[in-house]
Amino acid sequence: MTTTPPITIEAFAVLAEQRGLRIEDPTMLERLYAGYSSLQGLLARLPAEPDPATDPALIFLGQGVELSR
Amino acid sequence: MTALHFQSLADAARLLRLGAVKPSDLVEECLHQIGNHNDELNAYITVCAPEAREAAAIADEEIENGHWRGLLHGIPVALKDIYDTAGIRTTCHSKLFADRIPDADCDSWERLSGAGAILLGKTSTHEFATGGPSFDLPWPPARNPWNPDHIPAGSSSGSGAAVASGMAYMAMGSDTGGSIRGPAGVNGLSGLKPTYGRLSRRGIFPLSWTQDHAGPLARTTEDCAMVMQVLSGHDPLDPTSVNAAAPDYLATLNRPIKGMRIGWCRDWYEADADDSVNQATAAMAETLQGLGAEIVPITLPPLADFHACGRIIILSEAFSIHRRWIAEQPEMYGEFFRLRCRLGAFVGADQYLNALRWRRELTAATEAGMADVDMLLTANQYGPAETFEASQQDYHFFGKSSLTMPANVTGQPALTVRAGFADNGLPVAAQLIGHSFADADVLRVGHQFELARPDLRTWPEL
Repeated sequence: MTTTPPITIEAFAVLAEQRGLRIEDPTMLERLYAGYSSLQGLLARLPAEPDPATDPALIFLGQGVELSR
Repeated sequence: MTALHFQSLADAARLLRLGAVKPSDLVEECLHQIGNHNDELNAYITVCAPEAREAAAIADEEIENGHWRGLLHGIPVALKDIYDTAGIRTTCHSKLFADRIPDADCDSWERLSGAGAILLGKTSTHEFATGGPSFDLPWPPARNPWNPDHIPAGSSSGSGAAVASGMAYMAMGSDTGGSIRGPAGVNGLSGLKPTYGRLSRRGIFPLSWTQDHAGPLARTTEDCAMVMQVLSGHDPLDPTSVNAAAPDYLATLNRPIKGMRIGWCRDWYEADADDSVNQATAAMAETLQGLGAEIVPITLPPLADFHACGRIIILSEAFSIHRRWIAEQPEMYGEFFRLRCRLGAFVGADQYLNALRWRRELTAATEAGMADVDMLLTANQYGPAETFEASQQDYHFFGKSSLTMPANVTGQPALTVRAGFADNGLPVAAQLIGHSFADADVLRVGHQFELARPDLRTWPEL
């Protein structure tokens, strides 16, 4: 899965630093950037507007068991 | 005649009950296998030979005197090296924890040892249950006993390799996106990811709090049922442990499956799977039908939705767990772990919460889709184990959608059973996914399938 990078690698390096990441070398930065680009494909599948009533902390597992997880 | 080290856990327990073997015989058999093959297969990080022999000697005497501690008395087992064991190094297969010695046992080992099991050692894993197979860690990656050029899958890689090579009668694994079922499948084992909440995770180092599951890898489904019998029960010290009575898994194991309705979910895998997987899964459907089950087609939400939802949650939670360490001492991790874990830094809080809400919707949609069936049948993986060369990818999860992820997302019980072999002689597997807390149903169907296909019960020539 490869998607078009939403930002340049230079902008990504700044973003990584803002996230508190210390990337060892340019090769690791490139590899992480490739992952970041592919990650956008997964994030794009998230529902755009989930029902506000859907509580993320609860899950109904059946047989009358509702768990908080 | 099956060699003693390849007997099932259940058969070994029967031999103990008959007095045909002693616990020390079983321990020596496993230690012999470890001595002969661990240098090649790297299944164990830590072997507890003196402790196992001492425990076996005590068990020999107890059993001789008629004092049975429990269902697993005298059975040698192993634990993935993310399960805490008091006084025994628990490394998570990482330089970061190379010298970590826990003070207390995890819940699983408390229960297993209470039932008389004997600990042989701690098995290798992908680093912190996600970063592998890696060659830049303090210990080499486990290899597949069926062909050491191939991976044993992960992350419970050493647990799969140990059981498939006769180095243990059962090994515990953990499953966040398929880490029990992947290794079980490619090593020709049975592996159960129980319903979320059924087994305590106390003392197991987390990868993703809301998707981690503990569970067994064993040579048969009956073995998994015996382990579930011992491990199931409320743990008040684990807030995710369900306070509900556990069923008697063994009591229902031998009931016929005639009349059960099994939804065959082919959409998820058929177009992308190897012929061997398609044929083996179809043959399994036919066998189950022959046993009296009704096989019906079923369509559920797209596999890619489960895959994306589950992976976003794992990335977010794993990064939260490792954030400080990976920021301050990245060199203590292998490259694969660093790359994969750091991706979690780029998932926003709103995206994470949306994934959690999406998970609830996917769970509801799955339960609704399964309203008229007792369980699902689907493939476990797309093909047999890949080679180490093919496995060296920075991000294994950006390829095909994971067939094991749906049950992590929904929390449902999922059992992997050997279903056939690929042309290269490596095993392939299928998966049975039940309704939540119907773990006993999938164990029953898996057991009946294995009884109907004794031809599949072969073991690697080492």
